[in-house]
Amino acid sequence: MSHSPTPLPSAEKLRLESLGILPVLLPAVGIIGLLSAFIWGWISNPMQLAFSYLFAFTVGFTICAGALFWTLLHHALDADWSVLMRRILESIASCFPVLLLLFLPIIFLFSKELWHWMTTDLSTDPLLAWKSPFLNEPFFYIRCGFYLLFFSLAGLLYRNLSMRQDEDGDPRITLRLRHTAYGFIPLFVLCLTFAGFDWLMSLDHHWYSTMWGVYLFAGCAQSSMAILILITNGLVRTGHLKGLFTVEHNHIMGMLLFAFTTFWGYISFSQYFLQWYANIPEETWFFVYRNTGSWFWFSVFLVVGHFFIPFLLLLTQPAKRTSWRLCTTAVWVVAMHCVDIYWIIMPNLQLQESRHAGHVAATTGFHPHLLDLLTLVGVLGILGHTILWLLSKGSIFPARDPRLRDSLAVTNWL
Amino acid sequence: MNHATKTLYGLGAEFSSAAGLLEAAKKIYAHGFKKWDVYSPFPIHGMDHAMGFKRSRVSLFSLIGGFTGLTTGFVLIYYTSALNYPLIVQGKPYFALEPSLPIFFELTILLTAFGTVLGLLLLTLLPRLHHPVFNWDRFQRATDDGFFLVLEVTDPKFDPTASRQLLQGMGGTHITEIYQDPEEDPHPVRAEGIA
Repeated sequence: MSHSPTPLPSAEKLRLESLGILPVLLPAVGIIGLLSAFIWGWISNPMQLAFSYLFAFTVGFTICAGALFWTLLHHALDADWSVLMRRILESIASCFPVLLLLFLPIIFLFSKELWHWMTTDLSTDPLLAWKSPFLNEPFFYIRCGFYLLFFSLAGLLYRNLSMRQDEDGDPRITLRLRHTAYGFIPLFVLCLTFAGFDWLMSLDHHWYSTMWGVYLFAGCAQSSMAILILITNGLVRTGHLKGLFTVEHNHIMGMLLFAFTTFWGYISFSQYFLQWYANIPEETWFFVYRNTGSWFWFSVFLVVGHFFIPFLLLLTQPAKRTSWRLCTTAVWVVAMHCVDIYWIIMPNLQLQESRHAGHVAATTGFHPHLLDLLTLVGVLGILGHTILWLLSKGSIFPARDPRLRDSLAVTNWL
Repeated sequence: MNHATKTLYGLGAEFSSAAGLLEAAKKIYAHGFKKWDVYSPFPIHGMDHAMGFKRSRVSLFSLIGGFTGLTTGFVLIYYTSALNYPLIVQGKPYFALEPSLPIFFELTILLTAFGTVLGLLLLTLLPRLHHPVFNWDRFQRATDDGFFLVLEVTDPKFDPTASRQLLQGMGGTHITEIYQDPEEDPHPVRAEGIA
């Protein structure tokens, strides 16, 4: 079949005035949320603040890491459908310098509150002593710096070269980014896995799971696909990408969201299943803490809400091809991603509190705190503002990408 | 050949390209024909849409297969490990959801696949050893470089002369009447063979 060549669309700027109060609202809630959380939390409950802030940071970090993954994957596989949406992914993935700044309070203010192994006497804990060649403070900080610098450089490289292609239309940039992606994907996997080990798994330093990296990755890819769906459909609804974005793009994004919903279910079940079967004390405590008291119902809610509900919501074709249905599911998925990260981090706050009170480490059930919400709104507000600012710097899609025509004509042959 | 003893199956036309066949299919569908089909050496993107195909019912068979698999898995595990031969292994309960889920999953997937394949065979009336279009000499090229469209005579819209003109108007060539197989033995024993 022959396609008559249509002229390629010209670059399109983000029209901030069409977004209503969002460009003002995002930085406002970001700054107000973080400032109020820090002032109030620092005075009233520094440990709660530390864990709430780590929760909020991790939600932001995982979404940005997922966007970097999709950008790298797009290039490595020479994908065509995603060209139209790639600038949005690049903008999310370029938020890492901001995340680097947001990480500084964790290092300088909260590290001793968060990570129990930093304050544990090695002679009382042979398991920790065995891990100490890896799990020691200097090496830990070096690693944190390495992860965030790598993510920042990778995100900025992909966005900047893609922006340069908007100017000169040089197809060699596409090839260069593709070849770089082959090297960056293994580095990305290592950085994400070890960041997960360092920041989250070591909160409970006796516990270990070899599936931890891929478990986090599943949440990263899923939540950032949901964010991409929301941003793209938001742009379309405010009159952007007119005549370019079609229902087929929504369908593909919906399929990927569905795929990673299933992938998350598969990985999280496998992690639980292996530890349930092996029944090794250091491993099972992770789930015992999360099955105690009201945490049990929280865990059930996580399984149902993070896997079964989006699975059923996305199962049929109309669910992926109808904008409002896909967006509703995407909002739910992002919310459940927050629940997932909350479920990972917050029981550790109660363990720390009981240790500091001189008791045996134990969880007391699900007790939400206003600081969780304030820090989350703060971090997401600041990241949202950064994404909008980056998007407004150039065209909202790679206007001179050699695969743009393929992306516009993409169809799912039903 | 003596056509008088054979019944007409349909009217076949050949088209020069996949795009030509696609356009022809759109027009035939627009004319309201119901019993007709197209044949090509490879799948043509958009042909199902051009022919006005509705959503396939295969997924219903998949669903039935899936539920059968899930039920089989549950009954298999619950009966063997909790009812028929209860045995404590590693301090685990007789029946627990955790070790059962992979088996539920595998059997659901397996029987869904079986249901899908079976449903596909049922709905497409396969396997089928012969078809009247094979009586058309040129049709051999359907597996090489030929693009064919066949209107069946049982279609209410079918009319021997009007349909022929319609196919000609769409660029169809080698328009041929295709006959059903004769009722008698298609390979009669030759008289001299008996003698």
